[in-house]
Order: sequence, then C-alpha cells, then structure tokens
Amino acid sequence: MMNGNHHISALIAGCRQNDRSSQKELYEFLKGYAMKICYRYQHNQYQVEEIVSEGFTKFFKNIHQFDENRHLEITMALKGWFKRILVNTCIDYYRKNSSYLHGQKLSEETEKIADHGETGLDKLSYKEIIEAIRLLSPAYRTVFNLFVIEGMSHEEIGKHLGISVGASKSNLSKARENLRKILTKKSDVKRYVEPI
Amino acid sequence: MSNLSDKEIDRLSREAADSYEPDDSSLSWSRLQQKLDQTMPERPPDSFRFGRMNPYVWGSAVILLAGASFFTIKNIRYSQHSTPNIQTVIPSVSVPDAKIKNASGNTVHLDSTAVFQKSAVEENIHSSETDQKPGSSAKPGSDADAMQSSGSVSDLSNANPNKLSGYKQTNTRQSTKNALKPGVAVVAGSSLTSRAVSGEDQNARETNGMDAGTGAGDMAGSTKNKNQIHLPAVLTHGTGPGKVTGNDSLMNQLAQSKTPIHQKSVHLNRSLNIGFTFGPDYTNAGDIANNQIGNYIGLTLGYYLTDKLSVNTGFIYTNKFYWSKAHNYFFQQPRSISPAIYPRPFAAPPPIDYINGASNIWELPLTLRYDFAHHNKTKFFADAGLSSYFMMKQTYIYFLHSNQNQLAYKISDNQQINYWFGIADISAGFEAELGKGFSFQAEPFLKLPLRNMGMEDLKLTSYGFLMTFKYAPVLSRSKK
Repeated sequence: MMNGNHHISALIAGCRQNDRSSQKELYEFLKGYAMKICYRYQHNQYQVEEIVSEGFTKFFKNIHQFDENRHLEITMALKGWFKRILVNTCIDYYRKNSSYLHGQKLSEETEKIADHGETGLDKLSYKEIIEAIRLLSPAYRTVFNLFVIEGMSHEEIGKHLGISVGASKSNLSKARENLRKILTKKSDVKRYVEPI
Repeated sequence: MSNLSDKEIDRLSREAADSYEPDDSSLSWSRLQQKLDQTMPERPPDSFRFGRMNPYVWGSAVILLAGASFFTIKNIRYSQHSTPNIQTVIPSVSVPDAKIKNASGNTVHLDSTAVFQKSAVEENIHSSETDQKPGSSAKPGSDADAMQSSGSVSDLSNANPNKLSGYKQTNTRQSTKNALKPGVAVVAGSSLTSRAVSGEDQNARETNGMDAGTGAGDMAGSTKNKNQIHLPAVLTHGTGPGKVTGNDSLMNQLAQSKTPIHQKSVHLNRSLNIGFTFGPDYTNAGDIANNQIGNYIGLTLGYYLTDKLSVNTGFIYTNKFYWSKAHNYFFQQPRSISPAIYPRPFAAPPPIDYINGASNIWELPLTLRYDFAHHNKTKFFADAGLSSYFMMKQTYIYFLHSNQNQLAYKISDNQQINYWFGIADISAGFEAELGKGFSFQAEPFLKLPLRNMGMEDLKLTSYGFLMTFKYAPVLSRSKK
C-alpha cells in the first residue's frame, strides 16, 4: 500500500537506479491499473499479459523521463504517464498485428460468446460491457477505445493507427453498432440497470 | 433498453472502463523480472556503483583531481626544462673560491658557490680589496684541475696576465681534456649565459670591465670600487686586451633560447578580473534529501588588493529546489498572496507532512579571497565572505493530510524579498591561467544560512561547485 507521494517518490528514485525491489513494489501497486487498461484492447488473455509486461518494461526503462516535481499529486501523474505508455503499447501491438487482425463484421463467435454472457444476473454489469467491447474486432475495438474512452480525436487516431480519418469514423460507427447489437441482445433478456 | 443511443453506449463504456477491475492474478512479477533481467540487467549489489554517488561528490572530486594533475604535470615539465644546467653546475660548487689579483693588487673574490646558489638572473661576484695570498688562487695546476673536474663552473681569473693565462673556459659539454690556455676567461653554464648576455646595463659594464681585465688589467678601474660584480655568463676566449669573443655552443644555445633578450620587462597590471561562472546547486532545507539539482549562473568581478588577497563580488542567478519536513517551518499566510487565490480551507493549521519549495534568487556575494599557493600558472585559494539573497519568486507545494486523505496544494509568491548578508560563503579551489589574461577557476562551495528565509522561514543550506572562466584586462603597463 502506498503511503503517499513521498513513498512513491522513493520508489521512483529506486526504479531509476534499476533497483528490483523498488520495481517490484511499484509493479504490485500498478499492475491492476495496467491490467484494467490493456484488458479493453485485447480479447486474448495471454496477449493482455504480454502487453502489460511490455508496458512495464517501457515504464521502467523510461522512468527517468518522469518528473514528479512538476506535479502536485505524484500518484495521479504517474498513473497518467503510465497510461500513455500502456495505450501506446496497445497501439503498437495492434499495428504490428493489424495485417491479420482486421475484421469488419461481428464474427459468429462473437455473437455466440455474447449469448453465452448470460449469467443469470438481471442486469448489465460493468464486466459485461467491457467484455462486449473486447468482443469487437480489433480494428473496431481499438478505434472505440481510443475515441470513446481515451478521448482521442479521429485525426489523432488516424495518425496513431495509420488509417484515414474517414476510416476511423467508419470503424467507430460500426463498433458502436456492433456493441449495441451485443448489449441489446443481452438487454432483451435482462433489464439494464444503471450502475450506482 | 432495446435501443441504446451512441451517447449511452459511450457513457456506459466509459463508466465501465473506469470502474471495472479485471482479475490481475495471472500477472506475475517473476515473469516480468525475467524480462527485465534480459533488457535491464541489474548491477551486482556489492560492486561499486559510480552512478549512485552524489554528483556533487564525484563532480568535485573530478575537478580537483584534474586541477591537481594539471598542476603536477606542469610542475614536472617545468622542472625538466629548467634544471638540467643547474644539475650539471651544482657539482662544480666544490671549486674553492678564487681570489684573483688584479693589476693594482686587489683581489677579485670569486664565490662560485654563491653564483650557483642564487638564481640565474643575477650572479654576483664579490670583489673585495684583500691582500693577495700567493698560492691561494690562480694556481694553474691545482685550480685548473679543480675547475676541469667540475666540468662546468665558470670562473674568472683576471688582472694578472700570468695567472689568467692558466685558465681556460670549461663547459658542461666540453671535454675536460681541454688544457688551460692563456687569455681564456671562464664561462658559466648556459642558463647563466642567456641571462647575462641579455643585456642588463650593469652586467654589460661589468662585462666590459672584466674583458678589459683579461688582457691588460683594466679591470681594476671598473671593479675596484664595487662590492659586487654581476658576472656575465659569457666571458670567453679573450685572446687579447679588451676583446671578447663568444663561446660558439653557448651562443648557439643563447640564440635558440626563448628567453627574452631584453631584460627590461614590462609589468602588466591585471588586478581586476571579470568572469562568467556557472555550476550546479544543491540545496537542503531540512532532513529530506533533495533529488533535483538547481543551477547557478552569473558574472563575477574581482580585484586584487595585494599579490595574494583579493576582494570578489558578482551578480549571480540561481534557482533552488528543496524539501522540508513539517517541523522545519511555520505555516503562515504568505504576505503577498491574496485570499482569493490562497486556499485556506482549514480553520486551524493542518497537519502538513512536508513541503516542496522552489526559489528563483539573485545572489550578490562579497568575499575575500586568499591565494595560499601559487605554482607556475596555478593558484590555490580559499574564499570566504557573505552573500545577499534577493528572492524573486517562491513556489511551495504543501503536502498534508486531512481525514486520512492526502492533499497537496501550490502557492506562488512573486514579491521580491531581500536578505542582505544572510548567507555565509565558504569555498576553496584552484585557478589555472590559460594565457593572455584568461583563466579557468574551479571551486567547491558551501553556503550556510545566517538567518531564515522565504515565506516559510527556511534555512537554506547550499553546496555544489562552480566553474568560472575569467578574464583579467591590462589596467596599466610599467617597465621594471
């Protein structure tokens, strides 16, 4: 458990010295956060772990670039900085594998999985929404994550993914459509309850 | 809920992304550690880690080591270039003082020991009117042998042509087989030569006198009333009355020598110097080590009151970063900050954990410097004095906790606050001349607070090292 900014500063200083114990402590502190971000970008659990691992490696390699003195709340600033690393790692991973990951339609498997998502709960949980996002094809999922959740513009998305603005808008539209399809199927049998 | 709008989908997705915590138990440190071991191998824990040392420690050490090495190398080179002649001359000191009778019966006392114990600039031969002691000098046999064995001593025989004729110049490079020949005066080592021929008037006159004496005993007229004779180094092959010829090898050495021919030196007054200084600054305001280094940059001005004592000042800009624990300062409302931008959500002073401060300061030092050692072109000095701080901007971040929540807020104060002579300055270092009035100076420094400063009443202790490039213009010229 982090005891505050000063403790995090000490851990960051240790990580700058490539100290394994500091790295381990920071890893334990941030791994849930990393998992939360990367989980949305990949459907395959093994690939999620790979991306998290790659993100942490980049994080420790470049932690000397992080200037905690410029921020009031070091934990928040560190998480924000780490998030950028993770999202970029996800984007890199997507671009590396984009040659065979492109899909335009909701696959049959996706629809099946969506249907299997019935858990008997009479509501849509956060988990189901996230799982629904994960069921989207990589191209749709990535654009949806970057636009809706990370707040990027279509221009930025196009630049990062190497696609046109029009393609980004199209992918977002289709992603929403597919997501709606998945969630509607669920809500047809379960009533959506807005989370508290 | 049959039709979700785009906005609803986006909102739900954002909320889910913020709130959902997937299971992270599959992530393991050991797998990441393996990857880190491959990409970022950890250094052995027990080995020496240069990078972990405080930069001020190794930075100062490197500069001082470089200065000491520079000084040592220059000293060795200087010794190698300046001592060979002396080394060959010194053995000749064993030659007994010669007393040479001049024409009028006076004896010219040649104190060869004194000649070589003194610097090469002036070689004195003491002449005194003493009784001639037959056999005590100018014995062609014994003295000549002694001189020849010495190999390099210059000696002078004069006034008595018969006795003069028994001497011959000997030189370090000349064989001692040379027999003493009549009419040959003696010569000093090359180092003496170059100096003596360089033209001091007095030497010249004395040279003439000696020359004259070699042949006809005119020396009496020129040396009789003098207590000291400056021995010209080249008194050679006087083959006849009033004639001086040079030793070729010595003259060649003289010609090749870089020693100025004219001994009328021009003294340049470079008492004033200006400099550009810069370096890192490490400030501590409490028990918490600061992990950010500040800067130190500015102009300096110095004036030498004496050869070794100088007064120095300057105008230096510095930014300092420091941390302090709560007990080191008093939580008080800054004077210059309006309540509108000063957050005071607390009725009572909150429990502040620590504070992170940054200040932009103009510094006006006033110090006395003493050069305690000066070797070749390197001076070693100690410097002490007082500094005034003019705080231009202060920024503080307060870290505090309230109801188990950690909070932080930031306050800036742009009002200038002056602290006249609020800091004691101590430094020591070296200054190496680069030529043409330029020099490089390096000095570790320590600045101790004499009073509390800033809107949080902190004692700012700073240390680091300064590197300064100086230029000393010529204020005046005088001939000596």
